[in-house]
Amino acid sequence: MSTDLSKYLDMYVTQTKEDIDKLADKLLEIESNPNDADAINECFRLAHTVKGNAATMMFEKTAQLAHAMENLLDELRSERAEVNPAIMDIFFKCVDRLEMMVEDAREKKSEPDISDLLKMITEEMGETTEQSTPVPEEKEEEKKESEDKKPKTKDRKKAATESGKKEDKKSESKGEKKTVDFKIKLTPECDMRAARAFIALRLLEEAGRIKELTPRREMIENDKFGGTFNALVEIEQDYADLVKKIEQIKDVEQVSADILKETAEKACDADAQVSIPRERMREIRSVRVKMDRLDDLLDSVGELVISKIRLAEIGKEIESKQLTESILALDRLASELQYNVLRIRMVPIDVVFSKFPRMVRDLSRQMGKEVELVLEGHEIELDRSVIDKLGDLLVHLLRNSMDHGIESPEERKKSGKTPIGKIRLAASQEQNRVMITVEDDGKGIDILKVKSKALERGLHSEEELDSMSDDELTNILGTPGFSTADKVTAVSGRGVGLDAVKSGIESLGGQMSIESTTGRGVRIAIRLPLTLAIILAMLVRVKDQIYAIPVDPIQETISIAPNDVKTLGGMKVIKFRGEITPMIYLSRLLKTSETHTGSQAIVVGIGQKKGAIVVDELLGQQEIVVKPLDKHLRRIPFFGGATILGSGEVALIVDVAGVMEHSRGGYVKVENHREPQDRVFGGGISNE
Amino acid sequence: MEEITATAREDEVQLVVFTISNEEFAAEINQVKEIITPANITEVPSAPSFVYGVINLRGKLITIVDLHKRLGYESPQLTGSTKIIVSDVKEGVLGMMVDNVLEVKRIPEKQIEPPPPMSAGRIDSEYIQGIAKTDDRLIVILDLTKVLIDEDEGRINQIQEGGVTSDDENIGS
Repeated sequence: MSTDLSKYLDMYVTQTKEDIDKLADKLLEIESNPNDADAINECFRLAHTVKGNAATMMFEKTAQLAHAMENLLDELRSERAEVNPAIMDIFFKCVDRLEMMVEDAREKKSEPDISDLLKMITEEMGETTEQSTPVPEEKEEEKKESEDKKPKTKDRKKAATESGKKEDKKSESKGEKKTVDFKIKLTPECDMRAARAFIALRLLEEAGRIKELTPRREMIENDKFGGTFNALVEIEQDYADLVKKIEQIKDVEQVSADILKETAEKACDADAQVSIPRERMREIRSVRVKMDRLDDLLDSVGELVISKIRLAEIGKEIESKQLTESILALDRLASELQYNVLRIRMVPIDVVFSKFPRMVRDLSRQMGKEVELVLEGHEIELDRSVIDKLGDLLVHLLRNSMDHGIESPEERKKSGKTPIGKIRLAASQEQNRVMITVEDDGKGIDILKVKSKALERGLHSEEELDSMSDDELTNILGTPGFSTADKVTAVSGRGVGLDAVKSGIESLGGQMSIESTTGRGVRIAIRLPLTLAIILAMLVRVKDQIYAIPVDPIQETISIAPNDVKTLGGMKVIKFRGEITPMIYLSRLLKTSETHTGSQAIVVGIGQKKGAIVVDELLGQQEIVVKPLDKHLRRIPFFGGATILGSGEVALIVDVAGVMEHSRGGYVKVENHREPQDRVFGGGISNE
Repeated sequence: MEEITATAREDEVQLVVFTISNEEFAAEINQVKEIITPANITEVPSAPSFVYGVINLRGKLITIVDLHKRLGYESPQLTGSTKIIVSDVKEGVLGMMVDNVLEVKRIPEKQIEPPPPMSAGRIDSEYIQGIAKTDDRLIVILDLTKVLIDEDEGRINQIQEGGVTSDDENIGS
């Protein structure tokens, strides 16, 4: 590819990727509704666009492949072939390859081989029609030609005496400057007018000097022209060759060149026009920014927030009105900045969701199952860092549902279900949390199998298992070290079970719970924080150390008098709003003290679990910047990260879910208060 | 805080020499990022025993490794000479607590012997990069990349890596 075309590469990649995505979507539509003539037409149009753009950028094979797809689509359109899984497979393979080719283009790799796909298409077309239309090479030859003939300006000057079709007597004399009016018209259906015009202009520039251009250059480069433009070119050589070359550019409909007699005076003001800076003055509505730059920005904002807090602390001590006002102003600005930075990092969950229809389709073909995927809540936004990891985890959940949940069509019919299984993947937002549900209508989780596996793995004793409710048993699936798949299939298995997904979700600061109804399906509910970066937390003191407790699971804070504390079955409890709530002495749990001390309790709730975390002192709420702990410390279940306080000291962030899980007796059954329907999945505040 | 720049000649090794429980150890200077005086170390309850705590180094969170424990000595007493050697290893930036930093020493490569095949006393030989012999002194050169790394990987890492590979194998095949 020539260096000049490379400036259009980004544009090409972005646009073509979009087109390919749309193409894949439309193909899925065709597959679900083979008679959808509109979808077929749309595919045809998209393949055509891809072809045209690739050809302009000299990606011959990409263009060739798109062209072959066009041919095959034409078979469908003209009803010479009918939509069937085999033909759709070919289309999807082509789409995959195209995607790969565009990626390669971005990375400036050479184009991969496509002969296998072309062969497949030709064979398919041979089957469908007797007089199979060969894949025409169309413009390929031409392009090669024009590439070979890449103008070499110096040589050209010598060779330029050859006669062309629009000779002018005067022009025969070599070396005499003349002004030629080139009029170039592009075909109306041309998709990349700016790029083609650019190629034409470059040819003109190599041959001479462009004195005047109508419309102005930036209009042409921004595709704000009618498809026709005029260039007055001061040229020494013969221009017939040039005309031919321009005619060979794709989508050039007509080229005319007329010599101008009057020259000198006009040239002056024409110069003024030409000297307009070449830089594109395109209106920029969005920019791409590298993720680590955003991370740096967020780090700085985090530092700013810390400094702001420190300043506010000093302000309180000094008590100067002016200082307080300035601090307030700074506070507002910092909050705004923080909000905006966090917003910049938000990405719609659709970037993850959009891959799934295709994946589900391929998997269901592979497994011989029929599955309909329903996606909801594309527009919900999450922090980029959450999104990246979430994608893989959702892939596992979907695979799990397809592999272990949804039955084969025959099985489904036998149990009186529709042959087509259904998986619903839905996202929604609740205040500062995002809820994601993966629901299938498959056979549900085999609780007996879970039981025996849990026993086998030594996760629970037989007595423990017998005393568990079905719900509790189901959630054993999320216990680390558990994986139900007996055999490792190509689809799921490989040791990555629900337990792994659960800890993945937890490492994102989220929670996951599983609900299963035998014969009716599984529902997995995930709650995720919108962002991992900055959260509101309650600062507390335990002995001489400060900890931060995220306010999200906090229900209330209470002072405790010694006689409020009761002992129940060896467990310290407190009666809170009529419920017996177990007390979690942070100092004891963290083994910083052996005694039960503390006068303040923070009542927290995660799902059905409740607890009162006992601390020595409440220091107040504050926004904190969450910093991940080093990997050596990430395994400690009690902490979800750390933050830097205004004093510069490090405070550990308490992971409430982890603390509840690992504190003996953190579990409280509130049977009397729980209605069967009112199940809260994945934890979080249950006092809605 | 002292910034350190490495300008060793080719046949020489520059070592940061420090003491742990009155014994001399060293680390190659290119493994050392900076040396700081400990302040405001936050203890991390339930952490592995070789973790002394975490500190804030210019807005970054750094885990401090208790090198004494790591090498089989008693935990250190903080004194005026206690220093933290900040090291940039593959896994990220870690700090290690030492009793004193003595000097930066240039030692010809030929004076460095490979680690003994068996463990040298109480120290695991895989932590040892070599033994420098100089002026009647024996200095154990530690390989910080090994000393500071925990043998078993975190579970989360495994899952994430596992997840990615299984995807690659399955999608689009």
